[in-house]
Amino acid sequence: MKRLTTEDVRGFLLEHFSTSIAANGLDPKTLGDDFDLLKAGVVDSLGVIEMISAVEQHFKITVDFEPMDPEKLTVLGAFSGFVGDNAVHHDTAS
Amino acid sequence: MKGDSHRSAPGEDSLPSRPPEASDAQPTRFGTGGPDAQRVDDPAFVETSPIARSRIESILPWLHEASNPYWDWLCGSSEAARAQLNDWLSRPSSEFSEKRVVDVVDDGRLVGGYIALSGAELHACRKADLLAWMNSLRRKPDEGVMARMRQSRSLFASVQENEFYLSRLGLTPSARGRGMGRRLVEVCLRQGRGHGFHRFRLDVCADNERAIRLYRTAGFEITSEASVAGTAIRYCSMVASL
Repeated sequence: MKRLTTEDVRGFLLEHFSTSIAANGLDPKTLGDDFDLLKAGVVDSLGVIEMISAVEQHFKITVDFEPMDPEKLTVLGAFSGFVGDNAVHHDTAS
Repeated sequence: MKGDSHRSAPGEDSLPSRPPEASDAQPTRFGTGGPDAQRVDDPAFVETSPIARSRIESILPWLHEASNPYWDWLCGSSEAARAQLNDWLSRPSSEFSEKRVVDVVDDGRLVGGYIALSGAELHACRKADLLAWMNSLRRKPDEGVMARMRQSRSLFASVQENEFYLSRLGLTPSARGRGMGRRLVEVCLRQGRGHGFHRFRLDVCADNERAIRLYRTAGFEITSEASVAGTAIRYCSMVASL
């Protein structure tokens, strides 16, 4: 199975939040890795939990967020990288 | 964050009914806990309390009351709300870390206090609290909490980074009616101004008329109000530009 990459997650998030990003007057193509979804108002706190569920369902993965640095939880590049590095695929999980 | 899940709500009876008197001042001290917590610049009232489990147990009653009615409703019970607050009081990264609590010490007893922080610090703390709570809910799913979070999503207005946010303020019953609430608000505003802030924010239960009167006296005005559909929970957002 193809390993999930940071770019896969990043691409999904930008697509998933394309309406909210556009509503904030932003272009997904121009967003840097340091873009903070929460600070920009793209998601609220409940939206962060929903975002994680959406990523896990879409890629059929589970991610353990216990070791994550809270400051990076809503930062586009850091979140995508963390998910890519820590994803456990459902069809490979023991 | 829009729809943030936790806000200030001093208990209706937790606020003073008369102005402070000289006799109140002598045994009363205001100060932050923790060895590295920043002291509040109030020469008449500053005192730094030691970190101790007993301190958290002393803070919990007023903090719990100041968090209601929203917090008990969100957590599903008074016991669950107290347990969650107790956990966060112990976490240095939390909005409710005991290190952030400015105490009121009266005759050697901790009788209340407040928590206030900058908008930027609040956002960082809420990320930490959100992650901790999310991890806890993933270990032990609670659909009721998630449903109530969705239901109250728009209850609280967002806090800006250039604002100083009064997150919680409260007093134990024995300390009420002695002007301490008003003095606590004054100390909080002085703390914020000392950090260069001129815009102050808080959220308060819309039914808490005494608290709203107190905050109006201090210069706050209501800027928005929202409720949770199907419940009696209503909160006001208040702002002061000083």
